[in-house]
Amino acid sequence: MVYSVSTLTSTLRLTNYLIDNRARLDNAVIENASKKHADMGLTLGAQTGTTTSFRSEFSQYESQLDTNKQLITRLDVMNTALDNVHTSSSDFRSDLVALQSNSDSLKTASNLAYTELSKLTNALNTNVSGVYVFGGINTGTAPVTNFADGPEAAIETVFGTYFGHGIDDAATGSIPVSGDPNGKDWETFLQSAVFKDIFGANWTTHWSSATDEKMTSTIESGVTTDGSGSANEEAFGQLAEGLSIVAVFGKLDLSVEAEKFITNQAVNSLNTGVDGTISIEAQNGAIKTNVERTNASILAKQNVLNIRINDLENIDENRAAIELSLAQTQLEATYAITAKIQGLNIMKYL
Amino acid sequence: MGLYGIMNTSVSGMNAQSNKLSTVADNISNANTVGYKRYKTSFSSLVGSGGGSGHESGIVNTSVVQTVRQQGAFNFTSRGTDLAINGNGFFQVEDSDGGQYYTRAGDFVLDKNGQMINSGGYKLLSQGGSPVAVDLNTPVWQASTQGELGVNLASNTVAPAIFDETGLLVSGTAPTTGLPAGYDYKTSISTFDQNGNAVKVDVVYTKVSETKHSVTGDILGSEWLVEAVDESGTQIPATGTAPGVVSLKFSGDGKLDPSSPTDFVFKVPNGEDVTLDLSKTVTAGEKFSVNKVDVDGYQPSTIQSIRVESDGRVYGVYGSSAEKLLDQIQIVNFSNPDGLQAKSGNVYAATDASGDPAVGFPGDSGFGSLYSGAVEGSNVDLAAELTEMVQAQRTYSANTKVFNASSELLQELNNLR
Amino acid sequence: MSLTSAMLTAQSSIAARSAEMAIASRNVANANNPNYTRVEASVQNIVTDTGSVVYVSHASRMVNQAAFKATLKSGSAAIASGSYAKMLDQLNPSGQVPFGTSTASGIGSLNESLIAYANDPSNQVMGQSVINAANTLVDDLKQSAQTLIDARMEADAAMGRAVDNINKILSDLEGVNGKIVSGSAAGNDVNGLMDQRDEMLKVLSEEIGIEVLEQDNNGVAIYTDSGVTLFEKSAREVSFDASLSLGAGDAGKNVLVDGIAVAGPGASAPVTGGAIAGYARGRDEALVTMQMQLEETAKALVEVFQETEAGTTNTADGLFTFDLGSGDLVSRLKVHDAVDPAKGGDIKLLRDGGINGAAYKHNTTDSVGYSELLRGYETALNSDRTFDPAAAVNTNSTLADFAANTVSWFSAERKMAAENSTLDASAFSSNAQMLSNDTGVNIDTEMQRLLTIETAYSASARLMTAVDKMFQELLGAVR
Repeated sequence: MVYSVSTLTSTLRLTNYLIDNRARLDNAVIENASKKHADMGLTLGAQTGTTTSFRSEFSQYESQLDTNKQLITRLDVMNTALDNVHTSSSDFRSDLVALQSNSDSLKTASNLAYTELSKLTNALNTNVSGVYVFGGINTGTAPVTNFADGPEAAIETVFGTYFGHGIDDAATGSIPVSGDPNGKDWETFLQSAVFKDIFGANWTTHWSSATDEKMTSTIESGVTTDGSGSANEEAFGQLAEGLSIVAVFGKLDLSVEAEKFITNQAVNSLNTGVDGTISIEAQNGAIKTNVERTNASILAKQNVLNIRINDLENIDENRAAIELSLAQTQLEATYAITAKIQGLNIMKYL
Repeated sequence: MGLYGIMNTSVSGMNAQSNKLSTVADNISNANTVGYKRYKTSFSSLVGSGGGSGHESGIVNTSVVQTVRQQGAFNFTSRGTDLAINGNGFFQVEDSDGGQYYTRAGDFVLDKNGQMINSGGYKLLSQGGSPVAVDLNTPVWQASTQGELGVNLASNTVAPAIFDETGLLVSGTAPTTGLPAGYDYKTSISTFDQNGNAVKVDVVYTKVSETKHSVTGDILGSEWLVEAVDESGTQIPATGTAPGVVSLKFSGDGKLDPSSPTDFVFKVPNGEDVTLDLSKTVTAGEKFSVNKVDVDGYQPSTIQSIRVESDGRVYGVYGSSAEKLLDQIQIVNFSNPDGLQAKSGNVYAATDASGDPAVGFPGDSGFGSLYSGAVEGSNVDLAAELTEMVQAQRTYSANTKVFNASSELLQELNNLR
Repeated sequence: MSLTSAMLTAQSSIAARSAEMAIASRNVANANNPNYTRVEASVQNIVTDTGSVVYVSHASRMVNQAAFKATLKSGSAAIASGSYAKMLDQLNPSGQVPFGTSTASGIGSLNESLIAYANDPSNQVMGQSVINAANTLVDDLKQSAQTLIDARMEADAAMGRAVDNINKILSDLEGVNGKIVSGSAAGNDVNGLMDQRDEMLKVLSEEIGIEVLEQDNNGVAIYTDSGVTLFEKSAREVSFDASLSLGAGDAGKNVLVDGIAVAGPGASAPVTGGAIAGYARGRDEALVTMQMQLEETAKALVEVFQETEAGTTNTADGLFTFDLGSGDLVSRLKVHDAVDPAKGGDIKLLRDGGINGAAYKHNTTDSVGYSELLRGYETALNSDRTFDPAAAVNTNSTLADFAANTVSWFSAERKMAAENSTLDASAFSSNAQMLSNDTGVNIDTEMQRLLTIETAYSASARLMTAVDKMFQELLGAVR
């Protein structure tokens, strides 16, 4: 069999080579400039969805990190507020203990207690860009009512109902510390349910509009954590109780024994309240650590994703450079051959 | 012996040479005449009486014969109606008065009457001695009557019924028809009705059963129905000899079983029965395909050109791409063609010397074959003629010299007084 | 033998050389005509007792029917896979962003904004970004669906154009084939007509895969590659009705040849070659699957965000819903007016529930930090769902994975189509080159042939001069 080539074939074949090499060069130029595959879908085929997934996941992590930052800010603010509450409460408690030995000093403490109460209210009403962090899920409004705007009156009303006379009545001074057969003494009153409930069961009636339920934040796909605090924590009630006792009853003219007893009661409440606050603070800190740890793991995952996305989408730069120069050489050679073959014409020699 | 005798002898010599010259003149002038056969002049001596010591001069006899047997060289033309006989034989031609002659001059043309006439004005005769006549104007058509259709029926087509090797029905029921919609394959063929109108007929194939070995599962054979449907989609029913349906039986290897019918006859609507030869049908592979299709018949059209085959058959080629055998040219041969009598127009008439004409078709044993697109040229060789002319001239001169010599001798005799 | 016959021989030789020259020059003139088949002079001679003459009986066409048929076949295969690959390419104008990526990333964005909103539910800006992400996703799905409809309509129109072209070629072919048959019967030179018919067959095979069956007198019968009659003495009818709409669920119409469906859904004798096969494959297979994928995405979106009536198991459409009416789902998909501020809705209904009335409200205390429903949606969005197997990807996956899988499916299909198309195209070009090498013209050979003919012509002319001189001598001798 003789290998023969028709004139048309040899012309067309050169054209085809030129087109092929041109396309290869174009591809190589694109890949060199973008460092990515010139046609992602064609190169990756069935893997294309994987990079789409990876990219989507990557951006998911990015946005998760953003919301987590917001959460950490919120937790930081809560932490500062709680820190303020517990330091200032324990300072007040120390003052109270110191004052116990001096008679007639409770009136001074009463004034201080009012300030402490408004500090507590302010701290629990802390907000971050409009979100009241101790509102539970009711984060739209300041959760705690000012002492003067309700709780004080509620205490006085309970007192009036219990003893049958107003708090400013002269009879108040003669209320015994304990031992009254009808229970009309300080000990029984301060332990009574009607009084305790103001800081416990009826806390949300008198003091707080917060919900017990806290906001839940997603910190990683499928992982949630508390994203807010609640002003309804028992510790805050105990702090309020201690402070209120001193504030409301400390300003009265009472017997030394009564004053002593009241001071003791307040210190007891403050003790448990401060302890409780510290443990809330610790919990809060733990959540924050958890979020930060999650963020670190998200960053690590992002890195892995990044590497895998690059693996899939990026080209080997060295290979791309070599391919470009190969394509160039090839095209130049094809041009040269085309010119040569066009010159090979029998008509020249006839 | 006498002087007058010598004179006569030389005169006869001169006559002979002038005869020869006149044949040379004829030959040279017809050097390019189609079918012309050169004249050959030969001489013979007629011896005078006497003997012994005297010699009485004789005279020369001239005999002229035409070299009819000798074939001229072929000149090729681009005309299909130009015919040449390579070998023995003569075209039979007829003049306008009906006289029959014979010729080798085949430069025929088709005249307006559809007759083939050569440059001499003679009509070419065909089989049976009548002039070849081609009808140039009347359209011809032909209803389809036979054809061939070979298809490959996909062997994996599902069979409605399965039989085992003993012929027992294993499953399903074999349908008796694939129509109107139960058929497996359909192919259409163009046929022509009795008025030459094209009629499309669909031939449909329906697999009815398959015979499978009950143990090995090997296919031992299959059966297919072949039916025909007209253009409106209705089945062409059985009529007369056309059964409307034929059942093809294939052996296990997919070829037609020898016992299977191979002809499918159906009647073209408003046409004739068409016998379709289905013997090229096979069942193999997984794809339906058509391997052979050819149905005769054509629509009305007038003749476009004619074609003459080497055996003398004259075909008409029609506008509908059909071709039709119109006639067959016969040629004649003579036991002694040189004995034919030449007539004007390059024709010959039979003589006692030539013998009676033997009729045959071109290509038959003893007859030459026909070439279309060529004519037989004259068999005159100019060079030979010129040489002969010179010879004749010189011989004539020599004879006049003899005549002069005897004339001078006679003068001398007259002066003897 | 004689001088005259020598003269005649020389004369016939000169005539034959002229004919050869005419044939060779016809070859040279058509050197760059891809549909031309080389012809060669068939030289014969007749020897009689008075001498011999030579003549050119006809120009024989150097056909290679097997190579020609292989070229037709590979050509129509190349067009089929090429047109299919081109359709998929058109869906993917940018190489960097495969079709469907935007839907997958839209679902990702929706998920992100949903988490952000759930983490900060009192922030209406976050709520708005959920609505925005939802609207973007709806628009994107609609755009993708429209692209698919346009692509199917374009394929449909291309099939219509192919059918028109087939009918035109077949009717032209009827005339040419008739001329070839009658010309061959009359013994005329039909080489030019046969070249013309070969060209028609090439064009025809680009539109639809064909089988060519030779008949007497150089005639042909033409069948589709599935065995349906296209041409046998007369052209068969090829018909196709263009579709008015080709949304998801709308089936395209069939291409009928001689009353038999050769392309389209459920075709009984489907063709495998030619533009019709390629476009039908796109119109009726790949694009239908992709429409199905979008429909499933739309359906899943609506289901994920359905809200439940408080205290019961009654459900109703939430963030996403369908407009009333019939037709494909994607075109009716929208963000519920009740939650879209742009339509006068309230974003908070998404957080609190109640898009379908107060009975569906879950945040009865109107707590602004309430995020249970939002987290529920997020969980539902990231839970495995069941998808219709007709979507051709994993039937059990999350919506985001489903979307990513459809991207993979499309790119894999496109990659395969592109590879097939390249393979078929190179098979075709090698077949075409082989055919051209076999039956085409090589200028060098033809020029060389012309030189040979010229030499022979000169020699014959020289012979005539010699004979003429001899005659001169002879005539000179006659005086």
